[in-house]
Amino acid sequence: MSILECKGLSKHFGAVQALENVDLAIEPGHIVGLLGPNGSGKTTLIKLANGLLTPTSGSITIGGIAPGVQTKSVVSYLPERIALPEWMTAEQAVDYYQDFYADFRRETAEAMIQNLGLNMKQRIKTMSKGTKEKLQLILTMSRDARLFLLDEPIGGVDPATRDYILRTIIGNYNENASIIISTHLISDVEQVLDEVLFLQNGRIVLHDTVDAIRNEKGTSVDALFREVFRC
Amino acid sequence: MLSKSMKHEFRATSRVMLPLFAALLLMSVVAHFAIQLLTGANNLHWLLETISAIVIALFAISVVAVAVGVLILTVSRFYRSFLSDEGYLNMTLPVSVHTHIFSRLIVAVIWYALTVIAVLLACLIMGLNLHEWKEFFVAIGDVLRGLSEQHLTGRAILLGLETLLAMVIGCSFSSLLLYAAMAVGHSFNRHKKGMSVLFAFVFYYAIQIIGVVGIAVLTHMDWDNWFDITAENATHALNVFQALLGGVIGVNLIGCALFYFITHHFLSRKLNLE
Amino acid sequence: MEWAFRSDQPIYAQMSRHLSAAIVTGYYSPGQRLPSVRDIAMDAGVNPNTVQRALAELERDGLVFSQRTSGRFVTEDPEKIRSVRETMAKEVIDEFLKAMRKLGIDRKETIAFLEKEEDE
Repeated sequence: MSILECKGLSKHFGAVQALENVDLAIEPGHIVGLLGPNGSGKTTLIKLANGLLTPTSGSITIGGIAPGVQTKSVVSYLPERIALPEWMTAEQAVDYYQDFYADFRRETAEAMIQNLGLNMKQRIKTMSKGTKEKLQLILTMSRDARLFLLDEPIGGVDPATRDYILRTIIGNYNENASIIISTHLISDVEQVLDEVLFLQNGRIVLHDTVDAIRNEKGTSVDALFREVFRC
Repeated sequence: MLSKSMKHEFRATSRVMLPLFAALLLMSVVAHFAIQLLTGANNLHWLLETISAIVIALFAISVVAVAVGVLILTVSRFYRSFLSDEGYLNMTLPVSVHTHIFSRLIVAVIWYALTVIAVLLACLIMGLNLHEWKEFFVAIGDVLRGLSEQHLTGRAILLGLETLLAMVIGCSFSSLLLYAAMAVGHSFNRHKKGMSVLFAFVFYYAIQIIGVVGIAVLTHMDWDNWFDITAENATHALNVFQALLGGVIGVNLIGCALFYFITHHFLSRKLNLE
Repeated sequence: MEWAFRSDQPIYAQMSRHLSAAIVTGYYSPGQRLPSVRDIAMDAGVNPNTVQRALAELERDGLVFSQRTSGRFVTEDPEKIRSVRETMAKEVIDEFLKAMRKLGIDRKETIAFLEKEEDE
C-alpha cells in the first residue's frame, strides 16, 4: 500500500489556491524530491500530510489513514524553522522525543549529538543557528518512522553542512521507509533522490524517477527543472 | 500521554514559578522582621524605618508579581506550545488536541492553586508572630468544634469542597477564555496577536453582558423570601449559599465547555502556523 | 573513495562503472567483502537504492556475488576480472578513436601520434 496518497487534494487560503486537485501516491522505500519554486505549494502539501492543515477538498492519507494521532506516530517531520523550545538542553529535547515517540532511538540520537561535539547539557538557546538545525535534524532522523517529511533541510547551508545533512538522512532511515525532501535547490539533493515531483502553482506538473529523466532526456533533474520553471 | 504531557508542562513552568515562589517566601520572612521592627521599637532610627517600609512595599510587589506571573504563564505557555514555532513540534506529536489542551489547563490550574497557597502562606509568615500562629490554629479549632456541635461538619466539608470546585472551575473558565481568544486570533493571516487581544475582550464582554442579563432576569423572578436569612435559620443560610455556589459552578461549567469547544475546534481545524 | 557524478547520465550507471573500475584496478581485491549498501551510499552521498541497482549490474556481470547473510564479495575468478578489464579498456579506446575520427585523424595517424607520445 502507498505510504502517502492524495486524491483530488485541494487547499485554498481564502482566494489563494495553494494546492489544486493533486493526485499522488508515494510507495515505501523511496526518497522523493518535492521540487518547485517558492509558493508552489510544497510546504502546504507537507503541512497537510502532518495534519497541521486540513484539506479544503479531496483527501490525503498516510498508510491509508487520514492524518491524526495514529499517523503522527509513524511520521517524522522536520519543519523549515527551529521548533525546539529554546530553554531546553539537548538532553531535555532528547527526553521530549523519547517520551512522545515510541520509535525514537535514544542511543542513535546521543551518538550523533556527541559526534557533533555537542554537550548534552548545553541549552539550545546558546547554540548557533546551524547547530540548532543539525540538532533538530538528528532528532527527526533518530526515529524509526515510516515516512519522513523534511521541509527544506538544506536551505542556505555550506557544502560541508549539506553533505553532513544528506549523510545523516541516508544513514538513518529504514529501507522500508519513505522520505520526502522539499527544496528549491535541486542540484544539491539530486543524487539522493529516487523520484521527483515538480509542483507549480499548486499543481503537479511532473512525477518521474530521476533515472528515467536522465535516461530519456539526457539531462540532470536540475537542468530539466530550470527548463520547466524558466521565468 | 496526558501524564507525559503534564510532566513536560511542569518541567517548562516550574522553572518560572518555583523561583517566583521562593522569592515571595523569602520576601515574606524579611517583611516579617520589618514589621516586628516597626511595631516593636518606639523610637526607631529613621533609616531603619524607611528600609522597613520599603521591604514591606517590596513584599506587596512580590505578591502582585507572583499573581501576575501565573497569569502571564498561562497565556504564554499556550501561545508558545501551539501557536508559535514550537507549534510545529507539539502539534505533530502523536498526542490528541484534547490531551494538549487538558495538560496545559490542568497544570495552569494547579499553579493557580499553589499561588493562592503560597500567597496565603507568605501573608501568614509576614503578619504573624509565634504567639499569633498559635491563636490562629486555636481559632480554626474553635470553628471546627462549633460545627461539630451543631452536627454540621459533613455539611461544612461539602461546602468547602464545593467552594474549592468553584474556584478550580473559575480558574479553568478564565484560562479557557484566554486559550480560545488566542486560538481564534491566531487563525487569522495577519495581526494574530492583535486579534487575540481583541477576541479576549470580545469574549470577556460577551460574558459580562450575558451575566448582567442573567442577573436581571433572575431578580425579576419571584423568590418568595428565599433570601430571608436570619440568625435562627443558619441551615437555611447554608442552603442558600450552597444553591448559589451550585449555580456559579453550573454557569462556569457551561462557559468552560463553550470555550473548550472553540479552542479545540480552532487548534484542530483552523490551525494557521506561520 | 572519491566520487564524482556527471549530470547527464543515471547515477547508478556511473556508479557501477566506478565500482567495476575499483575492482579491476585492485582497489577491491578478489574475494574481498564489499562495504554495505548503506555505507557505500553514505560515502558517495547517494540514495541506497541507487547503490543497490549499481551492485545488481555488477552481479549480473559476474564481478561480485552475494551471500545471503554476509553481504557481497568480489569474484575470485581472475578470468572474469580480466574480461571486464578488457571490456572497459575497449570502451575507452572506442571513445578515443571516435574523438580522433571527429578530428579527421585516421587509424594510422592515430597510432603514429600514440608512438610519438610514448617517446616523449
